[in-house]
Amino acid sequence: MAASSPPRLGVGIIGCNGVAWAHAKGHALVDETELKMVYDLDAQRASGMASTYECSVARSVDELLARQDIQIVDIVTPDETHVEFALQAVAAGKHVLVEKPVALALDDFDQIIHAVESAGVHAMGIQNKRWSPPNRKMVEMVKGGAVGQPVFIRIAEPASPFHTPDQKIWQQRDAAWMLVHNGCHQVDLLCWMLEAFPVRVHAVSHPGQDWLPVHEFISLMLTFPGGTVALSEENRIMQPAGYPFHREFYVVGTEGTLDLSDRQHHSTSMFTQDGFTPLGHEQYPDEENNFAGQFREFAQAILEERETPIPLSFTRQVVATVLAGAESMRNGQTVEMTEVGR
Amino acid sequence: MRTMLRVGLCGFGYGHQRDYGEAILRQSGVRGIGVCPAPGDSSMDIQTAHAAAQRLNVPFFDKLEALIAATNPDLMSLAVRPLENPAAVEYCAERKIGVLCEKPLAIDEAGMERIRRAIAHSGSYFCMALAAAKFARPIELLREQVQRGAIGHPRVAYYQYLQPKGPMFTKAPGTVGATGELENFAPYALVFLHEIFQAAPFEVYCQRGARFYPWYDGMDIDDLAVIHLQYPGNGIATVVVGRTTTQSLPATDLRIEVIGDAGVVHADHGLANRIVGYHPITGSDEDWDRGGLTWHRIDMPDIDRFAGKVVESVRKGLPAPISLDEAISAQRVIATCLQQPRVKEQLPV
Repeated sequence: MAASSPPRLGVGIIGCNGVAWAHAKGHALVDETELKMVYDLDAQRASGMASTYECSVARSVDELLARQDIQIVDIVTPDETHVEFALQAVAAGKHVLVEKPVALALDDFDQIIHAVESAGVHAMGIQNKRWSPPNRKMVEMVKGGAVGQPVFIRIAEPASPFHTPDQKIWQQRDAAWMLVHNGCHQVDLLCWMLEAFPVRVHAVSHPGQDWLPVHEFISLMLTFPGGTVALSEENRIMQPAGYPFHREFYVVGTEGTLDLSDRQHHSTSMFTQDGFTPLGHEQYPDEENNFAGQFREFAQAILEERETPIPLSFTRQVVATVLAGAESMRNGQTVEMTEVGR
Repeated sequence: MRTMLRVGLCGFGYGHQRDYGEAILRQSGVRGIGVCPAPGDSSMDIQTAHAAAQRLNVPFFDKLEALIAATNPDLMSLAVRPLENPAAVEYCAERKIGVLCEKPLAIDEAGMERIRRAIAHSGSYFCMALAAAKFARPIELLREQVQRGAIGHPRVAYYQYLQPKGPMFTKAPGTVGATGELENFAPYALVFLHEIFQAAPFEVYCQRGARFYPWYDGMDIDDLAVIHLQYPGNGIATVVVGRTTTQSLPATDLRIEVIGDAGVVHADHGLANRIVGYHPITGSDEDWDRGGLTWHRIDMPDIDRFAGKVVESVRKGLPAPISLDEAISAQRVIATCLQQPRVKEQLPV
């Protein structure tokens, strides 16, 4: 008798732009999920993704949510629409993946948590950096006591500018947008590594490009309950354009130091008659694999009826930290997490 | 100015004279004229002074006043405890004797003001002994590129100075008036950044504490500080200084990044004074714990180059390589940091 295939959960993606392609590839790489349908306001975008991944195109979100063969809805839309689509999907009885930040306000996040608990579905915010092999190794080593008690950590993923003058979208964004949009990744890694949330946040920032209202460099200084001080840098001001994306992850503890520097230790460079070219600093550029890792564990949690790898309550505190950072950016003051009841 | 620059060495408690004092004496046209211990030097330090006197073939004096009265130096290399530094600088300045001064400058604003007044009143020479702030070769190269505009206008800087040397380099438990590693190492960063941003910072936020060496906590001094700084013209910097317990890294981990509006420059091994070695130590099969990485120190001529600049500036009446204004600016930032509460292990949650 032939062995039966493991069950596959149907997936519908809402939002087919940018990183959604990495999501789609991630689902394709996972045995436990199968992309069934996609939707985008821009029908051409949706068609393009559907054609590549051989799935259907929905004409509306309602049509996608009505599909009985879709158990997981993956929301990859602009940040401001995450809450609306998440609540819709949960109300339709779907399990939900939501790109970061899950919500832009803690009240909205709490609404999602309440809806998820009431509906009895699984939900998880995207924190795919946990599934990057070097990040995972760093966290495992620190949790395993490799450096004793962590004292100082610096984490950054410097790259060249995110925004260009010809785009229109930046005109609707404020100074803290980059931090709120992207800051959850590194803050999540830190909180996961230290098994704690910061009690104090201080931020300094730089606009980077003079014409841009969005600040593309933010340094968050986070103080944790055990006294650990961490620097989480959002950095999209490396020049010139095309400066290779890479990672700096440095941990000093009471018994040792861990130094993961893509640029110093994994860089490839070239000298020719045209000059010097850094070919790349990244050790592991395949973000799709990171998404696949998260999707796999999410699907397994659903199939095995156990808790998701990252509880929503954890992600809520990560978002709270990032929002505190945005507050510190705006008013120049330290934010005490306990004082504001976060 | 005399044909030979007459230089005396005072204070043998830190290794300053082995580095700076003797580098000054190696310059051409310089003559060593005596050594003496500083107030508060231990009996071991006094023995070191005696040994230096023998090695350098100069007379030993039991105190600064005696050395100066007997030899009339042009320049004193001072390695005096910060509590006594203002008095020592004042004494030299009143007699128009130039000073090469070990950090920290003083323990408080009053001490700094005393030094500033003494130098301003006498017009005598003052230079801070902070060679690595500007003259370690990678840092010199980085400075040159920033100064010539290679990366455009500096926007953001990161400066990390973590020294992992062992317990014999830490402050002795119970030492009265000891200053921590924030005061010890932050001047390197702050003098460097002052030059990069061409200004002193106007806003400072610091998280500091004693997380590696428990007795530092008892003495209310720090072994680690993480600082956010904001400079005029939108510049920002992050500084991390401290002494860690990572014993298998036997040299300072000094790394700098300056991001401008047209480029980025990195100094990954700011002191450039080591050879990386991999040697069998533990024989462990753990993929990270082979224990074989070590850094072999190379003695580089940075301090000699700095000493040469000091001697040249004394002879020609040029600005000191690291001026009193730069030293005071750095000290003021440190004083601001020290006003901010220390991070303690137990924080309210």
